[in-house]
Amino acid sequence: MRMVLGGVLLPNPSSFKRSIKPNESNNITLGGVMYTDFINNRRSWRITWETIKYADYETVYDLYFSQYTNETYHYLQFDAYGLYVPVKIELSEENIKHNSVLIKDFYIDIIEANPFS
Amino acid sequence: MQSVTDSFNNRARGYMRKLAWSVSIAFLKTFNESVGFFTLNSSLLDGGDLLKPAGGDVVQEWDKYNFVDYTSRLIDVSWESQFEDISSANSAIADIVLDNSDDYFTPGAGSMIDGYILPSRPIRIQAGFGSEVIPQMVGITERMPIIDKKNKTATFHCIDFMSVLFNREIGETSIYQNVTIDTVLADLFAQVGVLPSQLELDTGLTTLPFVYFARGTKLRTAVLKLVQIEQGKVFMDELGKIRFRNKNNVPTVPCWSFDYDRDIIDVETRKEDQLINSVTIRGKAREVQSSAEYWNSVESYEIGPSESIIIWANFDDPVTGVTTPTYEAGANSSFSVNTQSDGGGSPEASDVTLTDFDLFSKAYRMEFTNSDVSNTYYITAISLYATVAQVVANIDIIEQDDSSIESFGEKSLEIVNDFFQSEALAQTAAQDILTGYSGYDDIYEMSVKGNMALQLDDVVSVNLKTSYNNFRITRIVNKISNPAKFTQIIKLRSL
Repeated sequence: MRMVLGGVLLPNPSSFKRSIKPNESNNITLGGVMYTDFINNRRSWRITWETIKYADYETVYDLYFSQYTNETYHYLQFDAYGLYVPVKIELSEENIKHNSVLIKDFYIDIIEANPFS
Repeated sequence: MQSVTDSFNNRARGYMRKLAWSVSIAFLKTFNESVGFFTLNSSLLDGGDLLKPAGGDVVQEWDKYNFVDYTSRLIDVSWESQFEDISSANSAIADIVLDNSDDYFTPGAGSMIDGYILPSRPIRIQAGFGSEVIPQMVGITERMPIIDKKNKTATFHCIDFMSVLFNREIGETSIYQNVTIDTVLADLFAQVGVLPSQLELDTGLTTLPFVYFARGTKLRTAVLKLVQIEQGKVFMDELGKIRFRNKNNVPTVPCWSFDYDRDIIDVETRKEDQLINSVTIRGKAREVQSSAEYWNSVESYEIGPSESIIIWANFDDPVTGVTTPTYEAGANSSFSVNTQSDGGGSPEASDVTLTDFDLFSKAYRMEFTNSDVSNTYYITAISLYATVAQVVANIDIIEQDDSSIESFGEKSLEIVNDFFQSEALAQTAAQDILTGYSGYDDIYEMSVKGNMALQLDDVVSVNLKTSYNNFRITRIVNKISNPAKFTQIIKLRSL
């Protein structure tokens, strides 16, 4: 499973989960009937590493911060699913173990910039 | 209700409704006269021509501005319209909030439109479901935008074009005889720049013998006085077309329904707060009379050798015509000239002539010239025959609903309007008002699963389980905001 984020090949993750979040509002009438007004949907992915080397963690960390220093999103390329989309990266907490050599239970959320209908 | 496709209405009823909207603004206010309706095989794709909306048959002048689409920057948009008062006109306002993180809308920030971020920029709002958007409002930005530095937004408050037109003044004194209201309305709107193609006017039910508006009268004042006569309505629809509905052209059949279970999110009911059980109408009805002696000079006017003088005759009543005065004409407009100011000298019949004249609604300007190079003369008398719109009746009627007064106390309305030409006409109008407002009718204010095709004056049926009735829409408030929330609040009045 080869994933490239911002031109950087990511280390193989423990899991790669996709979620879809709708841009919608649910409304309830007086009779309890629900209807939904929506605009579109947005994909996001959670890439999890149960264990990641600190050097690889720093690479991901640098990618995250370069969003802000370069004022731009990175592109996620994931050929297995035919993805090449601009995304925003959000970091989880660090759980540093073993004298700063390994990071455990680290994940990033990457959120697609453009919605789909 | 705006004409829409069945699929639009089906979407409005659906469980899953994909919202759609667009906002465009013509900051530069450039005009494209060649804009027309899109024609297959002829119009340019993505060109200026417009997709013809269902029921739209004329490209409105407002559509010909070069609008720029700002939909991608839209954060929040709300628009509302309501009838202001009894037998009146509607007004529409809107507020749009646009993303301004790049200071595009900040005056002085140097964006492409800097210098054009000014009040009175044309704006067009459309909204709908799926791929079908329909017009909601055409108007102008009322003021400079409110720039929120913290949230990086620019908010524009907008009013519809009707509000702009209503603030304009009638450019010339306007007198009409034996006309219906629609004829007067067409002329008044033309005076403030509206083309006939932008109007759709019912024929008025009443022929008015005499109508008079002084120059400088606000269009709003003039229009409301006219619609008062027939309890009609004047409004601008979502396409920007100005409509007059006489009181017989009122929808009575429901075009949409709201059901407690399916459509109603919240409802407040109360009684009518504008109770009227006593109506007084006062006015001075005028009719144009046959030509008769109307004005006489009270002084003598000296006119020197080779001199011209201007003499004004000011009238108390509006005048539609004055017979041009000629020298000692007898039983008609005339003037007399003498060598002495008291008329005791010799008459002078040839050297002093009327060389120019102008009729205004309440004045007549005369220019006399003395062609004698040596002698001074005196215009000792001027008599003008005119067709005068004189007061023929002082209308002063009062109509009351005694049982309503007994129950609720007297709640009175006074109307002063000189265009009620007879007591019968005034009594009919008063009775119409009493019929509509002498009881505490039900007012419903409902938050509903909305349909953007609804319009003011539409009749809708409402099923609240405990009651089932038809109502008329008197106010609509629409709002689209994040996340994906479309709110429609309608105010209803029982028929």
